[in-house]
Amino acid sequence: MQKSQTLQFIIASFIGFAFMLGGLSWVSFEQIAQNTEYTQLVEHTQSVLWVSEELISSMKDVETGQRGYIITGKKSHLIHYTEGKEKVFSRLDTLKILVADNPVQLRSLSKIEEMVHEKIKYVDYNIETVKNNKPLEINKFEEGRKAMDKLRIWISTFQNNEKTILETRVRSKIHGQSLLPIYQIMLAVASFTLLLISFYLVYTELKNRFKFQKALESKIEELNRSNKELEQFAYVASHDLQEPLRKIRAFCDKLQVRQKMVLNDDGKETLDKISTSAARMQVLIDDLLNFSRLVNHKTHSLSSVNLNQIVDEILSDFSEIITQKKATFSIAKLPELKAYNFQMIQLFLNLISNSLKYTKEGVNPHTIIEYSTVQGNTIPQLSSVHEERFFHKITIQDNGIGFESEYSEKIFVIFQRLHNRNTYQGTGVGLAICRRVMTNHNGFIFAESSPYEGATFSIYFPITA
Amino acid sequence: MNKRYNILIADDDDDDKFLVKSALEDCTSNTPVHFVENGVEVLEYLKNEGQFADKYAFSKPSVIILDLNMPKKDGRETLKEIKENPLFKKIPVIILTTSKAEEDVNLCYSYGANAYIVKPNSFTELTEILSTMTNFWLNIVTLAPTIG
Repeated sequence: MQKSQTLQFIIASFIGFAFMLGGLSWVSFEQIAQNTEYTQLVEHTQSVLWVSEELISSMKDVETGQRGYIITGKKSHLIHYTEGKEKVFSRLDTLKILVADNPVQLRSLSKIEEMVHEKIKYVDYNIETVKNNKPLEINKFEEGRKAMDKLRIWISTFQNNEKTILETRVRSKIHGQSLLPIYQIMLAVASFTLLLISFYLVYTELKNRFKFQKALESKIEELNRSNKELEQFAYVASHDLQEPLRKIRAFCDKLQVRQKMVLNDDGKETLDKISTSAARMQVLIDDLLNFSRLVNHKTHSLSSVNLNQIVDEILSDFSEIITQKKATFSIAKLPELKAYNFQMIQLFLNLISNSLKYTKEGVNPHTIIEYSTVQGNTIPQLSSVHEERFFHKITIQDNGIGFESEYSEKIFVIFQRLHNRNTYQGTGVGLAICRRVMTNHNGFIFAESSPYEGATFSIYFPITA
Repeated sequence: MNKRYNILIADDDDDDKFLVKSALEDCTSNTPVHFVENGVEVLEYLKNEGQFADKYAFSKPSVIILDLNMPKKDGRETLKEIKENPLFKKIPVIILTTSKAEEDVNLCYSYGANAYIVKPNSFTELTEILSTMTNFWLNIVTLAPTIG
């Protein structure tokens, strides 16, 4: 699996994991809610059944109280009757509340209520008859018994109804509920599997990372060492090359001074060529030495550098060529930076000297130096690492001959030249020095151009918080 | 002008010796010149020790021309010892070296070098330098009496 795929999988599996956990919680919640509902339902039915039983039993109390009074004539029996009546009505009220949401049961209940009133009407009549010492009427008893029977039937209907309701409700619930544990187990298994896979991936990834980091660290160490050796090499090589070269030039010169008269034209020309080549080699070696000294820049210390002052000094050094070429400059206010002063001079010296060197025939050279602050994400050449940082941006723009944009990176490589040495002098070290200076300052330099359109060099110094 | 004048040149490099010799030939003065190879020999010469025991053949030089990078004892050390020695410190010491390093220039002057010259690239320049130098130190300047 590729790194990006692994990462995508880990992210996806964590999202999946989160969803499953959510699902699990939802299922559990639903189960608890349903359990509660079920319990409430059963309790409700049970209380309906119980209260209706109580109603019957209270009704019996009323009946018993009536009979006892009629038979014995004792008032004490009437207590059962009164209490029973009270209870009956309170039970009726309770039942009304309990089945308030069910119209069918309410209808049954109103029938029950009707029968209760009917029965009590006869009971009351019988008791009044006895109180008034009148003879009891058998048909009233018969009517009362009938009402009581009807009441029983209605109550049992009412109870059966309630039971049926409970059963249908419970049946549908049970069906849903029986699936819930299966969902729960499935979800738990899936999320656990996902967790295991993710853990394995994260673990192997981390293990690889650590290994990679270690390898990277040792590589960096190795690179530092070889870099140091290379820096040393460039310095020593150019330094030691100087000695024999100096002698070649001195002997050549001696030959020219002492033996010129005895040499024929071919000899003189050859000697001249040796002499020019040696002189050129001297320039190359000097530049290489300068460059390798820049690499070992840590011998100097950072100081506050006024860039405008540096540019002004460089322009006054170039005053002769500026007058000669009728060159003009427009220079913005530049920032003061913490920098290596000597290197800043080298940087602007090379850039300004280039703008004066690569000029168009018949066009007065004009160089614009501008300044702004920018964020890293506006610099296309930079990697995303620098996106958040801010930079001092200084651009040096000329109206000279420019170059093909494909060379915009190549020109910064040491000894890289785009022109014949006879057309434009130079060793190809200037821009390499500029890049090195910017690297030494944790900054960047980039070039943009197209042929005969002038060149723009942009330099970026990081702004430290 | 004066026959007693002589120059001691310390340089280990044969090519440089050859160039200096040739350049001196072009100079107008025909002051005797002695060549030594390193710092140890400079001090032996000054003290008339070893191969330089003959006081008359190897009399005290009027001017010493010293290269900095030499084997056994380099120019810096040699300069320091000369300038610390009460018998030799009045002798002008001219450093003639390839080193352009600021540290070397500073060090040599602080040790008491009388001049610091970077070896030129051309023979013409070398001739000019040597002729100016010998003219200056042997004709213009009044040197301290070095007998003793």
